[in-house]
This record gives sequence, C-alpha cells and structure tokens, in this order.
Amino acid sequence: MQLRFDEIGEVLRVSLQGRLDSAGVDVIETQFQAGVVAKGKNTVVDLTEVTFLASLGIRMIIAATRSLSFKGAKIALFGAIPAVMDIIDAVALDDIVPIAATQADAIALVTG
Amino acid sequence: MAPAGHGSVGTGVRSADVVDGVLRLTLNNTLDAIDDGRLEILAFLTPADLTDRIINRLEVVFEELVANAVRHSFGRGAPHTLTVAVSLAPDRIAMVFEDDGAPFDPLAVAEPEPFGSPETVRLGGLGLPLIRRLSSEVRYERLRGVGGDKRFEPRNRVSVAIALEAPPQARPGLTV
Repeated sequence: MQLRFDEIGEVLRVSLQGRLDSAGVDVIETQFQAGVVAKGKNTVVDLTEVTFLASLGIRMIIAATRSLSFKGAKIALFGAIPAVMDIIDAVALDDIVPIAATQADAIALVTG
Repeated sequence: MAPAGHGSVGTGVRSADVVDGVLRLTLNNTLDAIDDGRLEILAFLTPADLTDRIINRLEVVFEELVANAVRHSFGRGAPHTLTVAVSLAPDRIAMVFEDDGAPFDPLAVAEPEPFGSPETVRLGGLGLPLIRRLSSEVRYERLRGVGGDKRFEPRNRVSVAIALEAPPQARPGLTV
C-alpha cells in the first residue's frame, strides 16, 4: 500500500495505491492521518488505484473526516472502482463522506 | 487428498488441502493468515471463473472474519487454531470458520447506529455489518463436546454463504 500527497490549488490530494485491507492500513495509516489532519485543508482522496477496501480502510477514512471537520475542512473521495464502490455502498459511507466520480467533482464538493 | 493449488503455503497458513472438493485451511493465529489464506482461496476458486464482484465480496468477508478471530477471540500470541472450509455450489460459495477461542457470536452484535455528523461519528464496528450485508446467509454455533468429552475443545463455528449471480463455470480441477 502506498500513498502520495500533492496540492491542487488550495486542495490537498491524497492518492492511494494498493489494497486498503488490514495489512495495507497498518502500513499507511499513521502517514495518512498525519498528512491529512496536520495540514487541515480541504482534501480529496483519489481511490482510482485502490483495488480492495475493508472495514479498517473505511475506519481510516472516517477518522480523517472527523478530524478535518474539527478544523473546519472537508474531505471527499473519488475514482472508486466497482468492487470498492460495492463496499462503500454496503456501509452507506456516502452518508458521512461525499463520494464523487471524478476529481473535478470531488474538488467541487469540498470547495463548494 | 490433494494439496491446494497455490503451491507454496505462506506463513499464515499451517495447511491447505482439498478434500472431496472442499478447500480446508488451517490458519495460524496471526494477521498473516488473512493474506496467505486469501491467496489459497483464490487459487482454489480460479477454475470457477467467478465475477470480480463475487470474488471481492468473498475476500472482504474472509478478511473480516479472520481478523475478528485473531483480534478478539484469541489472546495475543496464544497458540489457537482457526480452520476454514471453502466449497462451491451452483448458487453460492460457502465458508465455514471454526476457532477454539473465546465464545463470540457475530450475530449477537447490534447493528451500528447511523453515522450521524462528522463530529460525532463513532469509529470502528463496521466489520460485522459488512459480513452480514455482503453474505446471503450467516449462522453461528458454539460447538461443545458430547457428554463432557475433554478431548473436544469448545469452538466457535461461523458459516457464511455468498450468493452467486450466475452458476460458476464448471472446469476441470474444481467440483461444482
């Protein structure tokens, strides 16, 4: 599991790559939370290259959403492949984290 | 009895054998068991040419049940055993998990509250709901020895089924 941070204007983009399973979350969680929460910026998470999502990955995303909300910032996800979207739908994650199809839509959600 | 198709058994898997068309895995009490066991199951099911959606659901349910057993039913580092039997029927994949850890009924855990607001959302507790929502059937039993048989350690048995969207392809090497 790998992650990369960059900025698109005022928005932080986090690109994740690999399996967000127990082992993958163990590898990146500290770096993910530190990178997202410390900056406290509106954030979009690119899931295009995430091939698997399980409960610990969902927990990691919700934890970032909660921490950012205390800083007055928003987070949105985009680019989920069908298998990952199936899991997002199963837990109704979009009830708390906005989900977009494209990066442009995700940026609009966090800056609008 | 035939060895499972993955070839080299990973450190999380103590044994993997196919008996009468059923893949029988014995897993170690470590988180390595998740990925190593997953690869054995994928190798076993490859001839069935299942859809990505079904494979993904199977992997999520497997991950959540093994992680739950390792983290919650077993004491840390204790030499417990988790076995998983995987079989394929025309309309479903069945997985039967047995462990000799502390009693734990995943069906007795209440559904989590709705997420609510980002400020008040509760973290965690999504693994069991995922198992229930992705499976077409989930059953739990606490197995005990008959007549106080001391040779039989009490065990948790969780049986799950994942419905197939269409009958799997019957190909050589896999009994359907």
